[in-house]
Amino acid sequence: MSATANVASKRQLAMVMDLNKCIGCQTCTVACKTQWTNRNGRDYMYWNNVETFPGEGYPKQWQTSGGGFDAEGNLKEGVIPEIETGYGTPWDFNHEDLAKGVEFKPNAAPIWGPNWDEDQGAGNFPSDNYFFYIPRLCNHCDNPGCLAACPRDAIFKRGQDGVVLVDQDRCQGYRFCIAGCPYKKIYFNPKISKSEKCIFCFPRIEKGLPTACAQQCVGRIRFLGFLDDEEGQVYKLVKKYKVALPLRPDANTGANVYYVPPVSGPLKFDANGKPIPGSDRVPAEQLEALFGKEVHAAVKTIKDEMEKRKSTGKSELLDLLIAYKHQDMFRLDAGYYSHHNNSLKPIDHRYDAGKFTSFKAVH
Amino acid sequence: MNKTVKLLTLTAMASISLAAADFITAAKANKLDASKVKLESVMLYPQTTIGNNDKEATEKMKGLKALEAKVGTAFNDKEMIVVVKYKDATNSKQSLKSTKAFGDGVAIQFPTACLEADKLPYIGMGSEGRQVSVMLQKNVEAIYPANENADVTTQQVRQNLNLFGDDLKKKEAASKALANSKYNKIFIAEGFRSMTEVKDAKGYEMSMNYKSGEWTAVFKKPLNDEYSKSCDATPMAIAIWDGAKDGRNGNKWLSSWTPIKMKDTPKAKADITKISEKSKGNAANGKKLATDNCAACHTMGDIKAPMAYMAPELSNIGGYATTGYLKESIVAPSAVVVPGYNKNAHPSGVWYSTDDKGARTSTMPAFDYLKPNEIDDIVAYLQTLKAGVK
Repeated sequence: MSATANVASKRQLAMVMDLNKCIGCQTCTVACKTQWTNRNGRDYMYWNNVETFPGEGYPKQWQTSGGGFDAEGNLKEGVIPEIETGYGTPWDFNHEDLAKGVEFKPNAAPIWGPNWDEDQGAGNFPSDNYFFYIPRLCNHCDNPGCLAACPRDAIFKRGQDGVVLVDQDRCQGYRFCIAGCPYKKIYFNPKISKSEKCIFCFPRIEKGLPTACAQQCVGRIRFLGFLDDEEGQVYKLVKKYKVALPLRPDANTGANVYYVPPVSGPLKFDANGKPIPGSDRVPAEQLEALFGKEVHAAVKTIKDEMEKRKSTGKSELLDLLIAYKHQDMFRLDAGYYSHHNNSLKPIDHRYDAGKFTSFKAVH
Repeated sequence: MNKTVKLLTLTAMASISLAAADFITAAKANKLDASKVKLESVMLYPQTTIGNNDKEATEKMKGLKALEAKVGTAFNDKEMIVVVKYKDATNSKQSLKSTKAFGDGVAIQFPTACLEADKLPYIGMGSEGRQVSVMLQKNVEAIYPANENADVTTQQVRQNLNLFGDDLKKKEAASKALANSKYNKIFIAEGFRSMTEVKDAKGYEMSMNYKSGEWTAVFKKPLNDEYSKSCDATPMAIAIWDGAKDGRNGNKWLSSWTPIKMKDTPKAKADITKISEKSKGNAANGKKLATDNCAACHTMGDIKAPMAYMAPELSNIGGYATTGYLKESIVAPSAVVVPGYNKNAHPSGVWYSTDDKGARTSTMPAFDYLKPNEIDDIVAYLQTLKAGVK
């Protein structure tokens, strides 16, 4: 990871998602949308989305749209998706007219949208077809591509928890951040001509509440906590057991949303419809492309722990992944925030009130 | 023989019509009328000093030619107007329905103070201690305040109208009334990335109109205020963005500092000479010297640096840098440090270091051991580096 000194934060808030338990219900997506993105030009944005892998994802083909850093730490070129073709223009249905006996139809003719290819997956049914869900949100990276791309120093990483935010006062809507983000999780709001992104629900976090997506998750797949909190489940999954891995680590941004990779899906079937012992439907090389080489060790650890649990009845890791209690899954150190100055000041203090102008910026 | 004469005349005429004015004469008038301002030619060159990471925009900017603008000014005791006219085949507008549509834009830039003519702010939005103010207008469909002016009651969901009826319709109308169809902003800056919006500036007006393939942008500003001063010869620079080429930020055409003659004084004359003068050195020898001394880091026209991002790209430097700036940059590179890329973007090619007080020292060593005539030669070569005319 090529985290550069001036974006280093004191602590880092991180999320872990157990992909084995994600059922693609989109409750997280809806929780986020109704909380943050159903109005004010954000309508087309999904700060949180759940996409089917393999698939084109959201925005379309984000995995091949550039951004992130090369091995030397130089920012790579990227492209900006268009609303209609990349994200999908929000559409609605004519529910109110149904009583009049008209045909049920959308009020627009969308050509792409989130989950356009939901549940399609790959392979041939029933012998070797497969897919799994990946919920995605801003990774609040150690070295954010969006921050590095910004020619206005409008993006900053909060010192107290590493949450990456856009200074709406400095943003001028140039959109280089969108090209620079390898996850395409920062969006241009054409209504206000500024970029906006997942804020890790910081107003909730500061009150000791988990993010809306984590709170609402019916599969209880999301863990939230500080990476340096050794008692926290996030720490244990990421650092102790090393079973939670960042998405596309080859983007070199130091992502802080971690995924427990899918293990132990159904077996492949042979020509006679018989399960093939020891087979994996999800190709290992695809998991490696998503989560890096470490994915093999992570999968092995989980499988070993499952065996251990079967034979001994004990496994701390599986207890963690069962996710018994929200209060253990979300360790936000409410006291930490209440004792901290939760400022939203950009990292560059040149822009604090009055350096250049008599206008006093409000942060 | 006649044929030769004719050709010569044509060449001479062509160069006359494209020669940029050394200065613009500001007319003093009681009533400022943009339609009556005398226009002179100012050449703008594609900004290539610093690139960006938008692949498609970079592609569209490749091989861009210089752009001619017709510029005029007039002033009275209190105010000044600047008119910028230029040809543009497309009327591009930022759209409410698109993440990829960019609007055409025009900006003018002034130093915030009357400085010595050979120590003007860096052309790319000023430099440390040499600030500039920028008036920028862009062609947009509409811009809304970021947070509906913090009135959460107007932040509602269109789909809820069925449910909540007329009340929300009223709020929606209130929200619509917040839309501003003009993107007119005033900034103050001391180098790339430092641009900060001035929200309390008074007496500024801007408009831009597209007619018959031509933009006419008019700027009106106070003659003297906190953000700019009227000097005997007021230096001004112009930038133009083409929305069709994804123009914004550095994706633009940029003029050199162009003096506006406000007063008929010896100082005005001397300043104009200093700002507009070209090096009389030997450009061919300068190219040799530049290859030996500069090409290890700088890309300049057909001379390519070993690595991108290592140092400012100089392929159009002759189009927008003054002689004074070029000389100063060779002899004392840390006097004006181009802030360059966001420091996280290219850590393997860092343009400057910053001490604990924030003072920047250029990575470039001072080439103050070069003889004055050698510097003149290098500057003469650098001044040949600019895109051709459309």
